[in-house]
Amino acid sequence: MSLSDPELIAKAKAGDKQAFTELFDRHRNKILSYLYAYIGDYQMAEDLTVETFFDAYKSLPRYEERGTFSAWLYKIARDYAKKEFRRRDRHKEVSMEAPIADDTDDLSLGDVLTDDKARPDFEARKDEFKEVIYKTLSKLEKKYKDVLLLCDVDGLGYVEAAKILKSNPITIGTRLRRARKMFYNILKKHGYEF
Amino acid sequence: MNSHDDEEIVQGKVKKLLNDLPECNLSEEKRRELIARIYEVSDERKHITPFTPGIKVRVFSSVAVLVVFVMAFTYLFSPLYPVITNVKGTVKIYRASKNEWVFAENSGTRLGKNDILKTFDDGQADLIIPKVYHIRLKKDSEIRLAKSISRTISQDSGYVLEKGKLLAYYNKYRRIGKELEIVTPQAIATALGTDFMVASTPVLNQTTIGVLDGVVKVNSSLPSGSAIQVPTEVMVRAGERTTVHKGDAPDKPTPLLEDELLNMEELYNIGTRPQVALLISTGPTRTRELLSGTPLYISSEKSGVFTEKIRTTIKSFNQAIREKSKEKHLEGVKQLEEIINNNPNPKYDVQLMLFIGAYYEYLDDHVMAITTFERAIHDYPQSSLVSIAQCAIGIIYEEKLKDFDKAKEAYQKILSNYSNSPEAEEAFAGLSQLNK
Repeated sequence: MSLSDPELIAKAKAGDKQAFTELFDRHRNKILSYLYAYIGDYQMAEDLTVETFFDAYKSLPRYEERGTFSAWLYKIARDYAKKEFRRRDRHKEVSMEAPIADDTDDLSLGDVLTDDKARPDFEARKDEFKEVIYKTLSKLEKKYKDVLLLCDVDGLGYVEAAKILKSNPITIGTRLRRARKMFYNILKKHGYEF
Repeated sequence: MNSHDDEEIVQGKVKKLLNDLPECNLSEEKRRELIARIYEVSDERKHITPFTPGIKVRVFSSVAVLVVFVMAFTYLFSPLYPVITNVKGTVKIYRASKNEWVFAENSGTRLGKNDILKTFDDGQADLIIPKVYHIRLKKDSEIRLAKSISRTISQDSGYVLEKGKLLAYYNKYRRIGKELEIVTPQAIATALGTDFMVASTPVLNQTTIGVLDGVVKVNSSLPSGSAIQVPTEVMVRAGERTTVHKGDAPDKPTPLLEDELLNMEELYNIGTRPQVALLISTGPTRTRELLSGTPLYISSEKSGVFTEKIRTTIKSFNQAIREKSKEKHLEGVKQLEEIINNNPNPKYDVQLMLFIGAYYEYLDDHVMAITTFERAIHDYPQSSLVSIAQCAIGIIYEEKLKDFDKAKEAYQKILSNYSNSPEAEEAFAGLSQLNK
C-alpha cells in the first residue's frame, strides 16, 4: 500500500531520499502543468519544476504541516514563476509570439503557425486545443490566472487557495467567477467553442 | 434562458474544461536531473558530519588536502587556451608542438601557444575564451597565438595576425587578463575591453583598425632604431578607424565608413548570448510538434543587430500573412537563413535551422525542408537536437513525398545514430508501418 504524503514527508525529513523521490513523482506533473500554464513556456516550466522540488527538498527540515504538501509546493512554484516574470521584465525579449508593437496589425509568427487561413497552401492541422488552453491561461492577468490554476485546474478549495494567495475566500470566489468569464471570452474570440 | 443562466453555463463549462485539462508530463531527463541533485546535496550534507578522526585518517586527510591543494594550484595557474568553434568552410590548424597542419573541426579543440589558425577563401572560424574574449577570423586569414593567459593571474593575451581580417569582442568586465593585443606586420592594436576589427592587407602593406565600442590603442610596428620622429601611437575611439602603413605612424583616426560599419555589424552578436528556444516538448512527439508549428522564443540581454533582424523578419512574416503570399513567406524564411549565415553560433543555429525546416514544410516546400534538416545534421552532428531533424526527414518522406525507401533509410539512421533519443520511438513505429 502506498504511503500518504505526511508519511512520506516524515520519512524524507529523516533522510530517506527515496521517499522524497516518491513525493516528487506524485506531484511533479501537477507542478509542471501549473508552471506551464503560468508562464506559457514549456522548457522554462520544466526547469522551474526541477528548481521547485529542489528548493522543497532543501527546505524540508523547516516544513511545517499547516496545509497540504501540494499547497506548499504551489507556493514555491508560484514564487519561481514570479521571479521568471521579473527576469523577463528586466531583459528585452523578442518573441516570435509577441505582436509587433509598431505594426498596425497584431499578428505574430505564433499566429502564422496556428492560423490555417494565413497559410498559402491549406492543410488541416491537428487539434492542439490543450496547448491553446495552456497558452490562454498563461496570458491572463496574474490575479485571474492564480485563481483559475489553483481552484479549477488543481482543484483546491477557496480556503486553501486564499491561504496561498494571501487573500480571503470570498475574494477568491468572486475573482474566480470573473476569471472563468474572461477565459471563456478569450477562447470564444479566437473561435474556440466548447 | 436568461443571462444569469448563461453566466452559470459559462462558469460550469470553464470549470469542467479546466478540471479535465490533461496534465503535462515532466521528461525523464528532468526527473533524473532532480534526483541527481538531491543525491548530490545529500552527499554534501554527509561530508559535513562531524567525527573524530584517528591518526591514519588524519594522515590520509592531510595528504588528500595537499593533493587537492596542488591540483587546485596547478588548475588555477594553468594557461587558458581558446576554443576553436563555428568552423565554416576550409580551416586549418598548425600544431606547433607536432609541426603539422590539420583540418579544424567543430569539435571543441583548442589553439595552443604558437599554434596557427588559417582560414581559406571559403573559411571562417571563431576563437573563444568564455567570458574573456571572442574573436572571429574571417576568410583568407592567418593568426598565431603568441601569448596565452592563465585562469587567475592578470596578464596580457595576444595574437599575431599575419594576414586577413578579424573581429574581436573583448569583455570589459572580465576578471582575468589585462589587455588583448593584436600584432600585424604594420601595427600593434591593444584593446582594453571593446569591440573592434583589425584587417591586415600584406599586398598594400597596411593594417586597418576600426572600433565599435571602447578604445583601442594603436602603435606602429616600427623596426628598432627607426629614424621616424612622429608620434607612433594613436587612440582609436568608438566609431573611428585608422590605417597604418608599414614603417609609418598610424593615420589620424577618422570616422568609420558606412560599408565598414556594415561589415562590423556582426560584432554586436559576438559576445552577446541571445537565447533561442523552440517551444517543443522533450518527449517522442516533439518532431510532430515541430512540424505542426512551434513558436520560437528569442531573448537577448542586449538589444543589437540580432534582435533587430528578428524584428524585421517578423514584420516580413506579418506582411506575408496579410497578403497571403507564399513568396513573401519565403522572403521571411530567407531572412532567417541570412541570420544563421551571417551570425553563426552553435548556441542557437540548430534551433533556428529546425524552425526554418519546419517553416518550409509549412509552406509545403518539402525539398527545402529536407535540405535544411540535412544541413542541421551535417553542421552540428554533436547537437542533441539533430535527431529531431532526422526524424522530420523520415516523416516528410513517408507522409508527404511517399518515398518509402528514403523514409525507411531516414528512420533507420535514427535507430543507428540516435538510438537513445526520444525519436527512436517514432522511427521504430515508422519502420514497423513501412515494413508491413
